[in-house]
Amino acid sequence: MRSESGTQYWSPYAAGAAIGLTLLATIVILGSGLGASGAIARTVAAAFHAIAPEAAESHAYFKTYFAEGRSPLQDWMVYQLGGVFLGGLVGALTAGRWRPGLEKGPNAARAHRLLLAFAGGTLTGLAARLARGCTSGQALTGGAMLSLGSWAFMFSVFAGGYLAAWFVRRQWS
Amino acid sequence: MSLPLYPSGAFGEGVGFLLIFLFGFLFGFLLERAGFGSARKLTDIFYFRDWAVLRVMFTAIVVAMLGLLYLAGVGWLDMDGVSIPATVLGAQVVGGLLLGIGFVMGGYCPGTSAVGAASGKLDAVFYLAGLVVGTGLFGAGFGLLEPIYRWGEMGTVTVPQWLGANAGLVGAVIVLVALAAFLATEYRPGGLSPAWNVVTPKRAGVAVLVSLAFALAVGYAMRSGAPVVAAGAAPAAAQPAAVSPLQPTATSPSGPVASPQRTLPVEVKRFKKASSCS
Repeated sequence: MRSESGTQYWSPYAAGAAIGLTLLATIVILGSGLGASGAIARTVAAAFHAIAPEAAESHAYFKTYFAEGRSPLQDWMVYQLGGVFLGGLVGALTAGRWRPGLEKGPNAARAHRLLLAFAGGTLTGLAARLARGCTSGQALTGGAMLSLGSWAFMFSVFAGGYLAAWFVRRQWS
Repeated sequence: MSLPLYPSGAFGEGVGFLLIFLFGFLFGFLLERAGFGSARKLTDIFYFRDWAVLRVMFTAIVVAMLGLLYLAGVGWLDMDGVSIPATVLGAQVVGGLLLGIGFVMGGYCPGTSAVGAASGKLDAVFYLAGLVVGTGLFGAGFGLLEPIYRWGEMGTVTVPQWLGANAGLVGAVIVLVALAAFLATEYRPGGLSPAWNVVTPKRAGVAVLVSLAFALAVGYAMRSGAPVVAAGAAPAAAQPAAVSPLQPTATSPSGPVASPQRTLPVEVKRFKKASSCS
């Protein structure tokens, strides 16, 4: 497998099996799986609460994050995303892949790539709330648990990606 | 000992926070090793250049799914203690389509963008900032979006329950479909070297997965009255009538022992948890 710098990537099957075992251990020990977007939503809820506590606690959507009567940041998903970040950092450093910069096609402008990254993130942030999870919480975790909605979600993600790929191809050209 | 450990009260929440941090650390490290801190590698699947996303994801799903089905099948794991994401079919199809578009635009999904940002990638930081804005927009527009958000609520439904099929059989089919997808993306014209009787790691993996899938299907079929994944011991009488019009009736191709377990257990607690645990 090619890697732009640093050591080689693992075989996708080896990495996949290791991720599968990690997911299995998480479910068997803690009773729930892996996820990422939930922590972002909780961070947004906490920021909302810091600015306008009453509005946050009575907000039609965000109020669910205050139902337990404590900070939305006191949650497994938040600790887990912290772990993902640190694990990614240690992984990149130990592989010699930590390098400030951005990825884009040789002919694409930096602003073009950054604008698409921001717009894609915005759309994903909204979509993940709609779907109640992202690729980690729905596709991976729910997929392994055979949740019907998670499988429908997973196929929809691939469909959306292939439908839109042509329109945003120039960032890699 | 009963699994899952935490819901059975084996340890407190503080230990749970520490453990989930460690599992997150492993997850992030492994995503990095798979090359998923790179937007280019992640999106290459949408341009037919690199199948790593498909291979990593389906291997992970198959491994974890086999583990769950075997542990539940032999009775060591109580699936009632596991938070299975609830199904809201319409919202998840619409959300999935939008998330796929956001994925190919932005180059990441939420988890991998954390790994990208940790690897020093500025585009991943922009994507993460977008996630925050998008989440805020969802909250701001919740009044408008709520009908979609609630479109197709079905409660906790698994694929085997929906099909009225045996969970072991469904698991076995998923393993075989994943293997077929791997084979299709590995195929090169004239690339079937080395000789068929040489054992390579990939061939050994295929043999192990096929055996496990076969044993799973047979094992579940033999004890087809036993709990299917996610189907708890909820007595049929305790089920609220208004779960969903799509709730499967308990007619099963797996034989006359089609059981009350195939109807849906409804746990409000689980709904709440699942909606926040992603």
